[in-house]
Amino acid sequence: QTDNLRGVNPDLASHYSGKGGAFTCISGIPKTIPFSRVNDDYCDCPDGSDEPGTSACHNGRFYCRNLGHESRLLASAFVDDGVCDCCDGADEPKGKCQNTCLQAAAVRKEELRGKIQLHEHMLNRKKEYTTKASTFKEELKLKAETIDEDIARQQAEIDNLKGEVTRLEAEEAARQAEIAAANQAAEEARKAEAEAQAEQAASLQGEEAASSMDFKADEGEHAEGQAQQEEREETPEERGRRIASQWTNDPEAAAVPESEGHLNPDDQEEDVDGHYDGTEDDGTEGHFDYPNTEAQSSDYHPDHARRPPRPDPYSPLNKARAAVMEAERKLQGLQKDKENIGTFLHRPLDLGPDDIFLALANKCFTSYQTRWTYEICMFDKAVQKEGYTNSVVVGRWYGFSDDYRTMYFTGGDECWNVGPRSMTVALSCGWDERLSDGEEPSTCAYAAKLTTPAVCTEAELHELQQQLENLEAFEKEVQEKILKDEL
Amino acid sequence: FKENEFKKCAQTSFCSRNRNMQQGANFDIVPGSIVLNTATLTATLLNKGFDKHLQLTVTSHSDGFIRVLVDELPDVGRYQVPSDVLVSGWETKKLAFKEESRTSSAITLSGGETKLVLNFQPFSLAISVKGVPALQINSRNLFNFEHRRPKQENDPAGFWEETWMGHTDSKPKGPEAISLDLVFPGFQHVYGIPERATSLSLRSTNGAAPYGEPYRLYNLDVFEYLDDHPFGLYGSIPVMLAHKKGLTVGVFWLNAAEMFVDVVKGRSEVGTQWIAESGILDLFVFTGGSAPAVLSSYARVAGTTALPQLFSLGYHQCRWNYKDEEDVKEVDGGFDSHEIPYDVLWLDIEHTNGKRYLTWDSSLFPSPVAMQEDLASRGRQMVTIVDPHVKRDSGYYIFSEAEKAGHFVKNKHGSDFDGWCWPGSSSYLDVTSPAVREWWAQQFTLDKYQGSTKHLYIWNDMNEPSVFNGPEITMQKDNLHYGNVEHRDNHNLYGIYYHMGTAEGLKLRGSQVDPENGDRPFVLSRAFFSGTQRVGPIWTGDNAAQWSHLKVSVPMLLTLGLTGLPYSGADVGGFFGNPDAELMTRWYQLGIYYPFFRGHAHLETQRREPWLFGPETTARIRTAIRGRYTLLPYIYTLFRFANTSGLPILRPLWYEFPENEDLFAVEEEFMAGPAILVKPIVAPGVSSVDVTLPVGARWYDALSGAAVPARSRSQRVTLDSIPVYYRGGNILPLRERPRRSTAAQLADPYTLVVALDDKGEATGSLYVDDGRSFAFQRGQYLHRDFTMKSLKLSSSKHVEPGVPSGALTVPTTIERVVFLGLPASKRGYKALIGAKHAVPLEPGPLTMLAPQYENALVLRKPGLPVSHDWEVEIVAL
Repeated sequence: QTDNLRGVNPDLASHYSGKGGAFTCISGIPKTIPFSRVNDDYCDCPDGSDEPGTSACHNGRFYCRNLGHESRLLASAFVDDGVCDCCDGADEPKGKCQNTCLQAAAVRKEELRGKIQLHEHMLNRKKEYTTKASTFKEELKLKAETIDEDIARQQAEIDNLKGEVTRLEAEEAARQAEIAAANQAAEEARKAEAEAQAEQAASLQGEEAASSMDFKADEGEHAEGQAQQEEREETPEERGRRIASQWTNDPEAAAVPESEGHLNPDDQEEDVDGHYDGTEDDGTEGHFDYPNTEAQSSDYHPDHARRPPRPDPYSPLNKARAAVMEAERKLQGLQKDKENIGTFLHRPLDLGPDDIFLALANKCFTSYQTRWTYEICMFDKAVQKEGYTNSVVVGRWYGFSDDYRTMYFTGGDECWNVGPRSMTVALSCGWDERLSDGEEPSTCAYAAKLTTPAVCTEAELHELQQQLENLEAFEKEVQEKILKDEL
Repeated sequence: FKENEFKKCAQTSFCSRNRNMQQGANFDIVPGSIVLNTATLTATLLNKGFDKHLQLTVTSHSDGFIRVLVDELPDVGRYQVPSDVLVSGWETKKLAFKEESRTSSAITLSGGETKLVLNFQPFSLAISVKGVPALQINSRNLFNFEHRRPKQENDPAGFWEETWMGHTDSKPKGPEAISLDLVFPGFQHVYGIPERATSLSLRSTNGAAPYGEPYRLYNLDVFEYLDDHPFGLYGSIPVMLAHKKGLTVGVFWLNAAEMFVDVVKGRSEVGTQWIAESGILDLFVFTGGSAPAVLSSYARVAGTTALPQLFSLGYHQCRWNYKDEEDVKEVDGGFDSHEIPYDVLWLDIEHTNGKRYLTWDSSLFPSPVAMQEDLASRGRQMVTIVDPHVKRDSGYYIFSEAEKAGHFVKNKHGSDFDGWCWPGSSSYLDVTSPAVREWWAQQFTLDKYQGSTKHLYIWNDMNEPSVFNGPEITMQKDNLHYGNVEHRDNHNLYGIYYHMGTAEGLKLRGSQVDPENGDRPFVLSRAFFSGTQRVGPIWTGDNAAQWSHLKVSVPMLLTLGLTGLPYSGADVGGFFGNPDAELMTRWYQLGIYYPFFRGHAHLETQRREPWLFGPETTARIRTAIRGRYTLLPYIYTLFRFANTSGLPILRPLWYEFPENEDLFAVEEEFMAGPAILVKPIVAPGVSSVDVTLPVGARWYDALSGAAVPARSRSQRVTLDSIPVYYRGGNILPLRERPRRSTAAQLADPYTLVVALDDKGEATGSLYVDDGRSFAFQRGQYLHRDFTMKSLKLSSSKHVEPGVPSGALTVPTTIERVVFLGLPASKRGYKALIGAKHAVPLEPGPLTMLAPQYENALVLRKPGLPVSHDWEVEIVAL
């Protein structure tokens, strides 16, 4: 009898035997009804179990067999509502829906094949990470032997070069002083000439009138200038922008002129300036990128587009200065090496299986949300930024947990009434490092997601392969059935 | 709310020179000038101070109102609201005056049950209805009518110029303000004059701050408005109702200029003073006597609520902004996977290419047509936002076409006005011009609006108009419109005209898609005026995720219902800020009764789709939204009455119980139609609330079906629901199957809930049509009346005078009839269907959602056809 009953879940089929001509509601308030009331398009059971095949109960479940694809339990509300939900079309009157299970399965199969291929690639990348990590570690060990000497040598080199700069600067200063003295003499001569002329003019026009007029004019200009500074009226555009900014801090939403905009090309440059100033200050990451993975870098790369014009770079002084800068850069590199040695060789830092996360050492990742930007730096800290000036440390590196599926940053800046801020970053398998979904699910506890090939597993690959095999088996079964039916 | 961004009365020259000034008895009727011509009295009104003659016209109309006009001579050319803001047909329907008496000091006229006494020196007009004093015009001599005059050099009163916050308003026409003195004798309560976030029964404006300021009617974009303030918001309806035991009276001053209204409550009257900046006095006094009669009469003039498409009464999911097509897909899928019904997904300004409306950001929405078709395959619609500011960009087709055709509002120098809004520098369509509206309407056809489909509807925001760098965030008053009209004269019309033009566009599109049965437009507006009800719904703008904003939404929506604009709603969840799970739950539980039911959120808020607050909250919100869909047959029928008769959907208790003085100021609970009483929970952590169930009616708990005595009572509550009651004497048509959308409910059977009154009687009705087209206007509708009397329940055709009879039949049946309040019968009852077929009534639940309560008697599967007459007799066994 069950076979004839629409929508019955095979796991519950025994309830619908119709024995004794009665049906007992499967769960909840006990109730027995005549079996003729099952699937009669009227809801009698509080749990909805008497109407598996109609839409009568608000809480019923309709079973789609979806032969060839995956079976599904559908809300009764979606039965006979004009929308084909089950791929076998069983949830709608006959003839309404096409059976799309095989197509759905085919699509799913393609999807799975793609995923399997991608996963294999990701596992390869994971291997590369391991190699890079071990190379990096070896290099560090090598450097560790001589690092202090290297630094000392480099420091001496800098001192030496600086001495040369000082000598050249003294020479230059003497030259400038000579030039200045000559200029001053010329200026004094010019002034004497002008005073003589002014005296002549005053005696012609009357001294008092002239000076009072000058005074008035001066005062007027002065007052105006002050008013402009203190309560200068907004321009219409400034007012428009200010009011718009009440609604949102999102520059996208508040009418930023676009590049093709004819409105105010200047403003954009100003924006850009502010932008750079803010990021350059803490922008050391990226310069010492050990080891160099080719992973997508979501770090911010400042573009040094607007530098002040430089004097002649080939003068001996400037050449010497450049040499100092170059040497200092080298020293910074050595110091970073030393820091890395301290962090990654001498500290008991958990770097993951085969030290794989060492491949991400010194890397930072950013997630741009509507209002806030989240940035995490591996083994260092996590920061939340608002605009280009406000930033809050939301946690410092704490470690991994959940079998390297979660990273913790704790002990961040204090949060009023809550304590120090903290952040969790959920790791999942992905082609490269992408930070996403930065948010604050509860006050001052932040969360984000990071993908990386470093956590991809063989098990995930096997799972995908298993799904594909199952689907292919299903498909075969259905095709055989269709063949039989047709014969 | 940045108070200093906005003007107060004292900072506004026309208001400060007229408010509470002892005008004195300056205006007299010239007795010899009186001419009575059947329904119209004309007379000369003399401004003694200036020896200035004005024209007074008083007309009696047969639709239940008196019209009082005062103007200078017509050739002065003062601004009059164009006739297309109202409906036509009423002007010529007049009711002759009968002259009761005339002396040297007064003339007394009567028309129907209305009596007028016009006193000559000083001028005043007293109106009574059925012998009960209703209204006095100028009994306090605060009436003033500033006439135009030659410009004087010395201008201390700000007649020709005033400056505020760096904006100088040049007033080339000089002073034109009007002060109107209206006293409601014997009344304690007045209502109306939206829009503002304040109490239902209007408070006096001579109190402590902020209620020392008059109520203001000037459509403005008010950022972060406060929840208890007399300040005017996005829309204006210059309509006020006064109610006392035995009489409701209404007034409507047809004037679109900035207006201030003072309310001063005395021991035995409510005095009001209305001050408008320009225009004429054109006052309608509605004398039908009851609130429904007043609203019906007002609807004769301003029109009734357009019958909405059924989908638009479902749940709307909005956010600033659903980011891209993937986001849309996920949110849409979220509703299905959480089994929560919804009908419309909304896209805010970020969907456009740089705030150029009617375009798409092609990187975020590369295939808008496919996206809309996909939603439509599950019976759902999409709404995009389209605002009146047009980005000044010659590469943008709307701008270049409009600029070339001269379609923009002009500044005082006559060139295109340039103001700042979302896209930056913008111009504003001059929608007060019929030609501009016609051009605008053409922009919505499927070929013109690229990426649109017939499943796409429109949302008009910022149409006050909002101008970020203008005075008070709107346009300069000396800007110029079509016909050389100054913006000061028609400011409050900008919103309705833009709304009209857009709705005409969708109507045009509908008629192109289907010339026979094009669909009804759906356009949501923020700004509004009298008449907006004919165009589409409004919402109460940018509220906040605060309990106080949840609370004030009730009096705000009740007020809109009492002023002819019932299709309205507040953003569920609150626009600004982040609601917690409890606030969200309570807001949905109330929101399902909002005539317009939409969740919306600010760009910088956390995501808050209904399933993001944990499984328990998801379940509560699911139950609430499903409850809305259950009620839709009842709600749609209420909308039909709003459509034919101008009746509100949400009603204050006094509207339904007009003789119970204790209820006149109640706004903590309300009626949804005649049958449902709702007590919202508007505070956190509530475990019990005081509920007033008005005496004179029988009440049933809408969840358990249990009879509840009529009186004030303390009601225990949980987070699962708010107290809701059915009022005995009503029959409610419901649909109990929780579908994914209104479209999916179309073929579902109905449940009738018969809630009996003390006499064992009840009535109700059900209106059905195709839910989408104008075919109902050609009689393609079904409207049934259900009556229960002497234990007989019957269905008959609903007949309404002046409404063409319905001819539609549908195959739908009634699957359940639930009886509440049948007298106890030891052995139960049976139902005789069509006098032959007998079915026993079974004890059962009122609603399938609460099967644990069996307080009802249920007729199971009676198979009653919705389209036909039938009778079911209930017989005790």
